Formats: sequence, structure tokens, C-alpha cells
Amino acid sequence: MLRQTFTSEPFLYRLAADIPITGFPGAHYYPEYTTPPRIYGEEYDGGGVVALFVQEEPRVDGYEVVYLWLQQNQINWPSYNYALHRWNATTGTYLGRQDAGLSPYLSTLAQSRDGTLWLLYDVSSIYKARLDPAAGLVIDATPDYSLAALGLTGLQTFSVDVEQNLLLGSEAVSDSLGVYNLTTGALIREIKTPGMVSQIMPEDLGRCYVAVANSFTDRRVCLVNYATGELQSVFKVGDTFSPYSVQHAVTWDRKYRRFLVWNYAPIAIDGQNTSVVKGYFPQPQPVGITKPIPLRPPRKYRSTPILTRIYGDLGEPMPGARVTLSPDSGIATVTGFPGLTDSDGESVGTIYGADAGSLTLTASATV
Amino acid sequence: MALELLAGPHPITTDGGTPIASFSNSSGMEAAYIQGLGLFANITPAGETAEYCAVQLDGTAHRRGWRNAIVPLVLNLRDGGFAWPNVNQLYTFDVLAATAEPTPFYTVPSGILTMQVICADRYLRFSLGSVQTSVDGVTFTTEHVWSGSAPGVGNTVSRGGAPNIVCVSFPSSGQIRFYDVLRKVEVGGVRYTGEANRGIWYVPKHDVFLELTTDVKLKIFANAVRPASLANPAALATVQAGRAVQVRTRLLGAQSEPCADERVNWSITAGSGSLAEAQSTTDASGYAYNTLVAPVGSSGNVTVQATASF
Repeated sequence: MLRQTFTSEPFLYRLAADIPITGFPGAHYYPEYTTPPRIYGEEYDGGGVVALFVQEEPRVDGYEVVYLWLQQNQINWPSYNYALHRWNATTGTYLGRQDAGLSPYLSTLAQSRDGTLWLLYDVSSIYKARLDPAAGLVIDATPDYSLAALGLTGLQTFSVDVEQNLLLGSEAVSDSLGVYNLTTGALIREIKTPGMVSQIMPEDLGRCYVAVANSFTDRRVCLVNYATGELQSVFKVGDTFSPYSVQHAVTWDRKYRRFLVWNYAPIAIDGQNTSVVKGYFPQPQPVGITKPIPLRPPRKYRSTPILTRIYGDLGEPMPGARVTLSPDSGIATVTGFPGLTDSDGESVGTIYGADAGSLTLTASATV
Repeated sequence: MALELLAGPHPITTDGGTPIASFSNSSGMEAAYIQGLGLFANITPAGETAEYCAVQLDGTAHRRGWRNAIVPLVLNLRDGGFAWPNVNQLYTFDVLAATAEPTPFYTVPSGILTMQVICADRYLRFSLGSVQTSVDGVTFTTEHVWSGSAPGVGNTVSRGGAPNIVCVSFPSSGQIRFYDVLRKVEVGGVRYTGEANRGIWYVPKHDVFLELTTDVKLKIFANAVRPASLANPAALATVQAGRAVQVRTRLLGAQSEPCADERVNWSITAGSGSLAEAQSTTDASGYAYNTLVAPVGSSGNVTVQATASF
């Protein structure tokens, strides 16, 4: 679990009367949306998160805008719409929405280190995408890269590094990250990850964050050095990602040094959205402390070292925390200063047995 | 030497207290203790799918990654870390990724690799009741026959307190033995936890043992004998009025092993005399000493009592 540093406002759904009527005016879908007490004419159905990304846009109170590309259901024809919901990346204020422009059908969006957006269509063609204030996401008629021509036919998740002529990618149900030559498609190296690669987020010239998922809802992010093929760390972002479309619901914000995660929550009683985007600084947080464990048999008139360990939600060590031992009886006293946890997350304190008997020893930590 | 229980048994639960449905397969061979992480083991949380977990010493487990094929990890003394054998190939096992590297670092043309330890010059296994050695990891010959009573099948292997020492556990007999892979000898004597188990791992940093019990709980044992009996004190010379004489007692474990560094309390319960110390400490042989002074002019019997709390 990382330290949360950002929470956006919930975005707003439109009332039925505010949704433009096109095509077949008489068509009416999802009547439950406007059955009291519900009042809104559209709803995210839980399965349509297409992408989460950031764009640098100088603003009065910040430098970035967070975009959530969402597929929503609506009561009018054609029963769905594609929206780009926007937030001020500094304050979390909701900035409204615009039409996405593109259909998310067979599309996967990825963002390069320099902020460029890339669209992988039908696992075969990569297009450079632009964000137009009026038209939404726009791509050219011809792809910039043809994966099929390179012999890469199964990539589901990808990242383009034009500067180094590299393509990072992973096939479906693959617990490894492939590093390919962007020109030839040759596999340069393969890096194993602790789960299926579901999102690749560039960090610098050699490293990227990789979100991995398995059959559970708890999600992990790895820091991978794809230049050396080394997996450098593994941690969890938040408690869980969205249970829906997890592969698209997280991104790395290079400017503000944080993961942005779409946190899905059920709608309010009136149908209003309650889901938000949360930001997490990449610093694992302690989630637990082990029970105190004596390392030598406790004896009267003898000092006994007591081991405790502070850990994160992947069992990773949490160094630098101060652990205090508290006996509930006078038969033992704590000696010395409270110990700091070491690089293994372990702290060894000492109690002195003043008498025979039993006691309950409680450990608490200041982090 | 029968070891003293320090903590446990701790049930193993995954994140949020979910009990586990199974721990690896029937043995603990697929698990390994990794300093800074915990007992790295394949666990199936109740109602979920198996995954490699990091288990804390108090039984709290956290999922880290998955892999379909779960096989015993090979302790790599040569390069550090662990290796993952797959029939005739050895892969470096990445603990962070909880999976093996994509390409093997060792392959034999045919046969099945069954080693448990990679040494600088050979491979070792303990799974057939003796220490067996091999140059290719497939064909083994006996290198050392365990001393004393047959310990059974060597199951889990962990690092000893030095780079050339490994700790081997024998679940059926509850024995633990240390083996020097350079000198090819047993070192340090046989330890017992006194019960059958699924595996035991040595934790060098803290000089304790971690046991996985047959009902899949964790126990922590001290690398010290559990005291079982204290002998009556005896004078080492004739007690005479006006003279000081040394008295001693001995603290032993259940298998008559000496208990070192234990406190013994002394008192005189009958007769006249005084003791130099109210408390003394057992030496490496389990003996604790004191000095009895009989007053000048005294006569009759004096009774010295020694007690130990354990």
C-alpha cells in the first residue's frame, strides 16, 4: 500500500434531458436510470474503463489535466457514449467532459515517457494519437507501426519508446515483459513479473512501472529496469484497483510523481457517480507488525531479546520505524531504548525477567 | 538436543486473516526462508488460487506472485539465492518476481535434476537418507552417511550460520542437522524439535529455527536445549566445619544433553552454612557451581537446594 496524496472529485453524469437525441429519437434504453429516486440518463456500467492518462496543459492552478476515457451507457440511442472526463491534476477539481472521438473497440491506449499517446488497434497496428480540444482523440489514417509486419501478433499491453527505438509489450496471460526492437520486432530480452502484465508506465530512459494482475483483485506494480532486465521492486498501489478493467485504470504521473488510479464505487441512490481518481506516492506504507517473538528462552534474572517485524502489504520490510514493547506485568521490564527496524524491517528489543511467571507483551510502532 | 519452543504454534492466514486451504503439497520442500521477507511458500488461501506468499514468523502471509508449476527450490550456495528445477533444466528463481527467469542457466541432455543444493564444485541432495553428491545433478553417489540413528529423508534445506554450512531437516524424525559442504562433515550435533513436521528452516540472523507443523502452523524454536531435569547438588569434596567446599548441579535436556547458559538458584534448606552465590549459570556441560562454607564449630547435616525455572 502506498501513501495516498490525491483524490479527485467525482465526475458528473448528465440528466436524461441533457443528452443529445440523435439517430432514433424513439429508442429508449435503460429505463431504470430515470426511475425515482434515480435521475441521471447515463451510467458507467463497470466494464468500460478504456484509459487513464495525463496531459500537460498549463492552467492557472496547475500544469496537468487527468483524463479518464470511459464507455458509458445512456438511455438514448445508440445506448452508449464515449466520454473523456477531465480533472485538474493539482486540485482534483472536475473540469467537465468531452466526447472521446474514438471508439474504444479493439483499442488500447498507452502513453510514452514524453507524454505522447499511442493507440494499439486490433493488436496489430500502433497509431500516434492526439488530443484535440474539440474532436477528442484523433489518429492518422495510417499506422505509425505495424506489429503484424514485425511478426508481433499477440501484444495486448504495450509502450513505445521512440527515442531508444524500443517497444515494450506483453502478450495476453503472460507473466513477462518483452523488450523488442521497434524497427525489426526482434525480442531483445524478456523480464519475468509476478503476474500478468496489464499496464506499462514509463518512468525514465531505462525503467518503467509495470502493473501486474492475477486471478485476484489485489493488484501489484513492479519497477522494472528494462535496460538491464532487472526487476527492482514490487509493491501494491492502494488497497485494490478497480475490479473492472484493471489493465486500464492506472497510470504513472511523471510530473507529480504519483500513480493515478481509478477507484470504482457503486453509484449513489440518485444514480450519481461516486467513483474518484486517487493518487499514490510510490512509497510503500507499513500495514502490520508481527507478534513479539522471544529469540531466547525467557528466564528469571536474564535478558531476553524480543523480535518484531514491520511489513507492507506484500510482506516487504519497512525500515526506520521505532518499536515500543509494553509488558502487562511487573515480572519483566523493558530495558534499553525502543529499537528501530533495520533494512529487513526487524527490530530487536530487550526485556529483563525480574520474576518467574507469565505476561503478555504488546508491541507498537511509530512510523 | 531437544530444542526449546519460543513461540507458536501460529496458524497461517493470508491478507486480512483468510485461513489457508492448503500449503504447497504434502511437504514443505517448495518453501524457503528468505531473510527480509519471511517464509516464501506456495499457499492456497481458502476459496482462492494458489500463489507464492511471504509468511511472517507469526503466520501472517501476503501474496506476492503466482506460478503454475510448484517444485522444490534449490539452495544455491555458489551464486546466492535459489534455483528452480524443471526436469532437466535449472533456472534462477527471482524471489521478487516469484517466478523463474525465462532462460535456464544449466541444462543436461537427459535425466531429471534432483539436487537440493548447488555448491561451488558439485550438487548435493539429502532426500534418500544420506548426503549424496553429483557432478551433473542427475547421477548421485553417497558422500556422507549421517551419524547416529537414521534421521530419515532430508526434506527442507536452509542456510547455516556460515557460507559453507547448510541446515537439513528430517520431518519424520523431527531431527535437524548441519552439514559442512566444504569439509563434508556434520557439525554442531543433532537437534530435535521432538515432533514430526513438514519442514524446518534455520534463521541464521537470529539463531532460531522455524518449523512448519504437520497441521500447517508455524513454531519458532531456540537453538538451545529445552531443560528437562536438574540433578541434586553434590559436594565435590568432604564437607568440614570451617572449610569451604565446591558444590555443583547439572541441568540436562530430555535426551540428557547439557543445558548451557541457564540460571540456577541456590539455597540452604536445612542445617547451618552459607553459599557464596545466590545464583549461578550453567557452563557448556550443563554444570552450575557454587561454594558452600560450613561455619567453624558446626556439625550435623546441611541440605543445599538448587532450582531452575524453565
